Amino acid sequence: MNRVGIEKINLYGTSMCLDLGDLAVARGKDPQKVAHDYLITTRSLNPVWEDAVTMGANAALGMLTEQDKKDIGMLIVGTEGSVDFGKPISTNIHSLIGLGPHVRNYETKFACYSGCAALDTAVNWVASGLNKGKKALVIATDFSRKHFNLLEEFVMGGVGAAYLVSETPKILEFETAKKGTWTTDIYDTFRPTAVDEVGNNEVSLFSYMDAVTGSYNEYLAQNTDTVDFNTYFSYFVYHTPFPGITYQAHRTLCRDHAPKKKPELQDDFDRRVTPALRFAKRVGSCYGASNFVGLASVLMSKPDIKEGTRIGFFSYGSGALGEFYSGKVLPGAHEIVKAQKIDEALDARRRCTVAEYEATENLRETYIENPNFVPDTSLLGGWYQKHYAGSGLVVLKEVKDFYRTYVRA
Amino acid sequence: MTKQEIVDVIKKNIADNLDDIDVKDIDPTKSMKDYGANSLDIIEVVSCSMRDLDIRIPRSELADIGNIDQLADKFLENIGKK
Repeated sequence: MNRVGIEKINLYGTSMCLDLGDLAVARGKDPQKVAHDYLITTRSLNPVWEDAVTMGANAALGMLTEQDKKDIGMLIVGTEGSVDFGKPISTNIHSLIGLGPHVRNYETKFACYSGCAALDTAVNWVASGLNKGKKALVIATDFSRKHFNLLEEFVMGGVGAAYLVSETPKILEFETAKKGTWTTDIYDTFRPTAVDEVGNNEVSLFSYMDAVTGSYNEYLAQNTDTVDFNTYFSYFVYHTPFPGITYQAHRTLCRDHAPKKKPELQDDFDRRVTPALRFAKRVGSCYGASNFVGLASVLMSKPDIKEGTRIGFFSYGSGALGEFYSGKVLPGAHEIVKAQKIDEALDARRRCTVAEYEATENLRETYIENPNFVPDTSLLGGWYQKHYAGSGLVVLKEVKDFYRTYVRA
Repeated sequence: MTKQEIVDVIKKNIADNLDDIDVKDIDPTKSMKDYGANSLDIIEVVSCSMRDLDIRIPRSELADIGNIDQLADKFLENIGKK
């Protein structure tokens, strides 16, 4: 088998954000309690001329060279926010970033596991040798729907993320033989129409904990190493529908494998989990891009991270499936991630008022399943002209008789 | 194991995980939310109780249970099952 891992990584955390403190005040809640419970400071917010296609394309374009594009032989896009039930958004993204005609591409769906489903396929393709030296571009891209005045409103967000996966990894090498999967057939959160994002959050939280337990136990069963939970993993990247859930995930695994009193648990969480939350705290719910966002966070947060450092990953998709897997950090990983200037891009987002956020989401809703519309770029104080015009960022120009036209701004 | 013993285990875990609550003040006909528990607190109480009682059932089956007494009934049904 080939070595396989991540050669490049980038995140696109949209161009606008909503401060969760502002939202808490508008909804009559305690901002400090919101910040404490969910561990989110801001959530990403798309203008109406962006969607899952633009976020995914913009994430990839931000890291690929012309040579990379020639080296790519496969593109897989994971999303639960596709803009079409038949035509995969991988086709839109394929043309927008300029890949060749022989690049196999498709879309994967499994709620928030979609990104790891895409990654898994790419990893197996490269590891098998059937890639014949080619690289795989893996994208995860998702954005929340409208949830005004609901508890879930505080755990919304969106992000596009991209990995370049190859047999010459420079960031992280996967331990392909070490993986544990757990699945069950339940309805926890789901998207039964193009408008609704529904379900039972309690069931989802409970199922998440079943999945982290079940997949980790299977990871141990598939692993020939003797695993000491306290020392085997230097960092954990747990799935983040909201960053606050990772404390419970870590507490759940600690209870079974390395019991700790509360102060010890908090110390361990701060040391081995918090570094993975850097960007999720700023974009909010990461959906299928969650593990990508977590990895970028760890590598950005730890400038002195050493070669061989093992990171444990837990991915969860409602429906439901959990997967625990691991990889080891390669030399120079921090510098590669730092060069993407992800923090700087998040700093440059336009902070919207709650009224602007509500107006944006209300307008976006009128576009869904609408056969004809032109996204209104005159809104938000000329944000399109200030930030997009001439930038090369991908935007949705128009939808005519359901045909969607995307262009570089 | 009796239902009362199960209720006592749940009460102990509620008191351990929530601030400023004494075991003797917990009424089993109430929901944990009545004592200020959020969703993650409830998961922790349920998980710790299952561990103490040596019960393994999918947590997702417990998410919609209304009060402490009903949770104890569900645990009682599953005592000894693996």
